[in-house]
Amino acid sequence: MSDVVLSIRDLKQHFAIGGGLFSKNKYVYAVDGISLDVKSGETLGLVGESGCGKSTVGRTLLKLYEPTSGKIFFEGRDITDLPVREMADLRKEMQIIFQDPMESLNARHTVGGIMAEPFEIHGIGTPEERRMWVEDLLVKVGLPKTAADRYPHEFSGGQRQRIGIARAIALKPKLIVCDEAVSALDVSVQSQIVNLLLDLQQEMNLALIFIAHDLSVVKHISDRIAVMYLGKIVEIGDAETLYKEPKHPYTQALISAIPIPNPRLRNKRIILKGDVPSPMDPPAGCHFNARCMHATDLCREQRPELVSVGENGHQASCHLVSPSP
Amino acid sequence: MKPLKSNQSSMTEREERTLLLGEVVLDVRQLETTFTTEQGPVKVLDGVSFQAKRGQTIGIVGESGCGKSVTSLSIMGLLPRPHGQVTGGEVLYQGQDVTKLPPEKLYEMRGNRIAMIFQEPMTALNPVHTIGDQLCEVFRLHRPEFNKQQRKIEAIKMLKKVDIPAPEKRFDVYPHELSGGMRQRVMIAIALACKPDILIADEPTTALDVTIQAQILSLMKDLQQETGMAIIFITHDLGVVAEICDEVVVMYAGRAVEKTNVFELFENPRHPYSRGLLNSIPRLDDKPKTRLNTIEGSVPSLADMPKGCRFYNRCPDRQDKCESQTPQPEMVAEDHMVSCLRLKELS
Repeated sequence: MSDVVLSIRDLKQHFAIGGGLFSKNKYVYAVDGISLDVKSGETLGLVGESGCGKSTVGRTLLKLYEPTSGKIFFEGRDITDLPVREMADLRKEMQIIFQDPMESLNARHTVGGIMAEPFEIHGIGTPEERRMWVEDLLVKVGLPKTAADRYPHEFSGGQRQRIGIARAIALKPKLIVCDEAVSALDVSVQSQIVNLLLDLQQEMNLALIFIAHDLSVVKHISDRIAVMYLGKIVEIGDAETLYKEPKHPYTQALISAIPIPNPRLRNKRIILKGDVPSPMDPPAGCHFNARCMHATDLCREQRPELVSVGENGHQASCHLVSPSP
Repeated sequence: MKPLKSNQSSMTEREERTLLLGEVVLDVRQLETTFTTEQGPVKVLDGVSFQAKRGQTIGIVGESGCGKSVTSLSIMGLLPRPHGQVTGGEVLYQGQDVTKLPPEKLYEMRGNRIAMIFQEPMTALNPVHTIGDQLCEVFRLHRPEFNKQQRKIEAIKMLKKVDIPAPEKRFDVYPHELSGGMRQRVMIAIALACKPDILIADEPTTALDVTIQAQILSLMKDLQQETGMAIIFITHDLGVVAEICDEVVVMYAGRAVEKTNVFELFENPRHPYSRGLLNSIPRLDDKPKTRLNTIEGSVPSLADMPKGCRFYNRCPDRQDKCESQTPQPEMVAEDHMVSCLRLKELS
């Protein structure tokens, strides 16, 4: 497939914690063997509870963290061990938008200054050209040109997120990782930003990796969705199928737990017991077995593999789901 | 879920409470709160009225800056001093206006008759005390007749009540040793320790994952059924409102724009803001990759409020009169209040 922008294969990210002169290092298995492909113009949603490793995946595939093992390919080229300088060049093509734009925008610079930075870093254009581009970008994300001369604190949360998006698309990247990009926003503003991302994606044929814990938003923006649990993908499939026919008990519980804005649909929830186990010490067998209401002895002993369970690349890793031919 | 205790005394107690279900326990009337700012006084709450009823949950819903949290702080007498002050209206609890109570009386009431839980239990819990200590503190303040041992017994009973596994062991742990969901359970245990009449829950599940949120909501419902407390549930999430509330107040920029029962709000919203808010929620049954409905613009800053209807600059149905006239609350049904100048034309 030629239009695959980014692939990761068996990506692992283990963080060493604790340990000292006399004690052994412990590891947090944040990401533990993940393979994914994202095509241009496609949105891949990455969902799961806190601590499932979804943000780590996003950061590792941009090589903001050095992966422990596994491979990352950008447009077919292996970038896993790319030298820092070449990687810096490649960053034009891959960008990230964070949850809290107030923390990712420098409070002491004007919006114009913040947004001209990508051009400066990569040595593109003259100051006049940059100013022009910045104004065009601001208009594109729905802000007035005059915003360039103001400071981040003068804007509301939604407007700041628009600035973050404008900066991310400045260099016409091929891939943007949105890490909880709309989670901190109010519903009415959140929908504005989701629409903006959909429009920009269509216009620029962007590949998006949309990381979020809010499943209803993720469904709205994604073509395909991967559900993560304790560093592994437990189910992946196209958005419609995944929500209509979730196969993995965890996906089922996760979807069932979403509060539905209809008071007549109360009390029809699967309520999971307990919390996500610590990724430092994941349970043996299926990681989900302790919270799964269907768990058998097999689940407590043997780790299930991700297998095909339906059409269009629908895969799940559960002993109790029969694989499709 | 855990079965309710069925010993004789608590049964009669429960029956007694059932008789009183629906009785008004907290009556908030035309509450007005003003903050002093560099730009002068700003009215952050402007005539908010609602009632909390025994055994029922009233939701206060709205976006950031709509005044929902200030409402709860005003009731609890926890406004930042000296900038924040209740400047009008009253909050009646057992015939007394709690906004005018002297500090000693407030101390007696808070955490005892009216309790509160917050969004982030980690900031509400004291990191240098064990959760057992913090639970016992409530009894030390409000149940002086208990000795040390009784306090511990009662504290462990509370931990058990909120479904914390191995409560005897958890008694001695520090907040950081617990997960977010467990911490919120501890907060609920502390809040409910003195069997309050009213629990104010300010975004209690916003920081939690959906699966944990479902656990906490179901726990709160169970405890409400058991104790008959009234819950004032503050949230921005209409999904959560649909899940737990009986009545809802929709707030916008310091004013209540609509108030009705939960079914009416979701099935027959009358205020353009309520409609916009309901329309902009992403729904699970929508097709993927479709545009969402939005409300244009954003909430105006409090210092720069439109003169008439505060929703004026974002309202899809605005007319000239909305810019200058202030809408008054109108009853469209027995329990349905709407505050919109174009109410008649729009329905």
